[in-house]
Amino acid sequence: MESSHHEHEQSFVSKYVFPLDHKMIGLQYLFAGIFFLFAGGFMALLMRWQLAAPNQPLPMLGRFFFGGTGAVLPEQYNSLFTLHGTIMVFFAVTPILVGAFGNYLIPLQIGARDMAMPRVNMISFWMLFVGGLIMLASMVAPGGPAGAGWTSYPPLSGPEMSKGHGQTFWILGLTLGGTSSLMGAINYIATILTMRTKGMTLFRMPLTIWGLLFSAVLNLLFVPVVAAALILLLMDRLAGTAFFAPFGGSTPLLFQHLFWFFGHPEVYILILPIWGIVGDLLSVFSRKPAFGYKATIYAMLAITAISGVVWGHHMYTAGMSPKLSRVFMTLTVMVSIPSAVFFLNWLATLWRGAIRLTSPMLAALGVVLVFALGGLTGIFNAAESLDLYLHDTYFVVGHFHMTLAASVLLGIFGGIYYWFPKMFGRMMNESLAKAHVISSFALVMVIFNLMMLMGAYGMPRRYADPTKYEYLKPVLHWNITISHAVLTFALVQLIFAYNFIYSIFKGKIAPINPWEATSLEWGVPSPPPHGNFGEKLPVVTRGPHEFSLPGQEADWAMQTQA
Amino acid sequence: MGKKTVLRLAAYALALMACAQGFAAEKSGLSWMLPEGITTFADKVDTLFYTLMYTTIIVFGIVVAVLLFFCIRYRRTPGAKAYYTHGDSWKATALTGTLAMMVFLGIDMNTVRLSKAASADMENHPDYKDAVHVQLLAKQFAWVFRYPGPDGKFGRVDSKAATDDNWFGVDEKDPAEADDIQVEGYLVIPVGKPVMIEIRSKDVIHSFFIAAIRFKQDAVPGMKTNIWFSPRKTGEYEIVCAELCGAQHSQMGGKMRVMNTQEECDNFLKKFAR
Repeated sequence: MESSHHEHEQSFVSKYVFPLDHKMIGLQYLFAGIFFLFAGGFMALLMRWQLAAPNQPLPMLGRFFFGGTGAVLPEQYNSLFTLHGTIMVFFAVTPILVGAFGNYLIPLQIGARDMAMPRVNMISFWMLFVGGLIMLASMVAPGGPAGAGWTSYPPLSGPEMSKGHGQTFWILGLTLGGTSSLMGAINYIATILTMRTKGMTLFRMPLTIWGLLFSAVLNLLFVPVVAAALILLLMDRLAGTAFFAPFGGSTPLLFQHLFWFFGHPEVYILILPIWGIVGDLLSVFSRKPAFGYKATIYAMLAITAISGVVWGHHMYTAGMSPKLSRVFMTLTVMVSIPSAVFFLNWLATLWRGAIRLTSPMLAALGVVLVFALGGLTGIFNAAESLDLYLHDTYFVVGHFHMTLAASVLLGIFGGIYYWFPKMFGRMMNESLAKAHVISSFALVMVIFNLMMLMGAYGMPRRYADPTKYEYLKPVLHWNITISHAVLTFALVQLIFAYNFIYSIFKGKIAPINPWEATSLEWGVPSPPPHGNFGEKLPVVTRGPHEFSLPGQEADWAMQTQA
Repeated sequence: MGKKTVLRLAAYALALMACAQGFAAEKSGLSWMLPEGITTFADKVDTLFYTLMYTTIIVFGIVVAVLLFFCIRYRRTPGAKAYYTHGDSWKATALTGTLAMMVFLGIDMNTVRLSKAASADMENHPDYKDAVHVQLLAKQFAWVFRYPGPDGKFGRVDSKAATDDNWFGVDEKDPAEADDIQVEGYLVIPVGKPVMIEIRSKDVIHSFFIAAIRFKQDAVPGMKTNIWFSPRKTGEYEIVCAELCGAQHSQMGGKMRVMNTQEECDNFLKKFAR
């Protein structure tokens, strides 16, 4: 660690390609994540074309992407949603939230010079990136692409039904991505628990760090499960084993249990950091301490614990005993107790604040709203008997996109607008940012609410072409509305892309603490130097949200303020 | 805003939810949200759906209203400072906890209760003798139904013995098999009588789904699953596959014909007899 205190002449490769500095690794994650986000988003656009204009050739690009007449073939559609789901969850949202924010913020916010294991950190980024490339390559793999959905249930993903190498690529890519998450999680936990600076007690950490810590704990506990399932599936495919073979003494349901035992915690892996970020942003821009800080943390802890015992609600229709279903239903709805706690705390943070509606704040408020809808519609799916109807319809698609796409994306945008000045030393254009956040919010509301209404009418998901079914006629026209909204959403993201790239090079020079926030990263130069804190590590004297202290001129007090 | 105001607002919210439930039971107004249902189970599921839908609209409305009110009322004004509180007094914690428990009792426990009522309806199996019996085999990409024929008995089937010609793996030596009728894509049943269906799959996981009966059941290879329902309205209803099963997943359709009498059904099925 001695050398990391001093800025060395570093070669290009060791500074930008295989860096050990957590900030550079964080930025690598950020850029890779945004790249995969746009790739996954583009796949969504192609799917929306097929749904709005079934079997019509896509103008101009169609022949290049799909061959033939340029229309999307059903197997190509399957591979689009398979890759869209996998890439968005594991290679876009995970790297940005956990990888970029986690790496960048953990040492800066807890007062450490770097992560506990910088080399492991560097390796985890590259595993993830290579995994993502393998995942993309599975689209053009010999024998056919992966197309068994992001859940890839056997036997459909098994050796007989998915003969193409794409499915094998998918397994390998995801296993690498999972291993990367696992290594990252160990690193985060070690760093947070052992490397806090003097005075930084656990209950003085920003909520963002708490969110990342719980998320890392879930990663550590549950990623090995899915990794095991994937490797067993790989053996079934390559080595002729029969771990999930239906007629060979096993059952394909085993895979579903293993997958969802991990899969449900995974949604909390993604949302916990967002909850943390939102808690901090609401506090900063209300100029008020986070209301019920400890209660929020205990609520997050409770959800972390419950998330491990609710996986069965993904399998109500799989032939599970109704008695077991009822247990899972009751456990699942219990999630709403802690959710209600931190939700009320968010609203109470606004109460009697001095609210500044900056772009990060607008994004955080957007998260509160879409997550309210996402959470409430979760109860529909948790209810066993109602889920027998709603399972595998667009209701589920709308619901989980509300929680995992809409709120996570808005949270990511909020985080990027908030920390961009620290990361790049320049400000982003605030007007463009506000326009982007508000229009993104409006569009996701249209897109995912309409999806839920279509699902309520019984529209099954993963359908390349639903037009042949009479009973869906009253709702199918919404597909066109949704597709228009998605296309507009994509165009709106260009505002973000422009703002992001332009501001990196030409944005206004950022001061050290543009938002007048209190956590440690706002006390060091933007961008922070190698080693973060200069000669001496900061000493923390107070909690993370000391805003509007009575008897003090400024309405904020840094965590280091005596 | 004092504690009393909050409690009063919460009480209003609960009262509204209670109204929502009454409203949902009436099923008036927003019934366009769901397609027609034709079983008693469907009615109960619909009640649950509308209850949750109105609850969602009310709670979301409250959240939006509170959020907008706070953002406008407490927007930053020059010179004004925010109220310094950590909200960690036992009073604040107790208030939050109480409200959270009210959400749990008012929404969650109600959901569990209504859901149990619906599943109790489904678990109240009819007598085997009183029901019409059908076997269903899901395969890429068709629904294949078997009817027992005049003798009312199925020939033995064993999925392990299935071949490309004999999808069910029927034991052709079994005498009960001789009059069995196998039909692709048509579930033909009489109205007002419970039908029991034995579901199997030949290849991958499929899911048997008819919107009008408000449930689906996966067809898992290597497993046999039993479902039942009792249609109360004649007509033709569409069967779709709800679990991704391959390239033609979206085209794996079938029809359920609910006819007036068993005789009408037999007449329809006769065409397919050997």
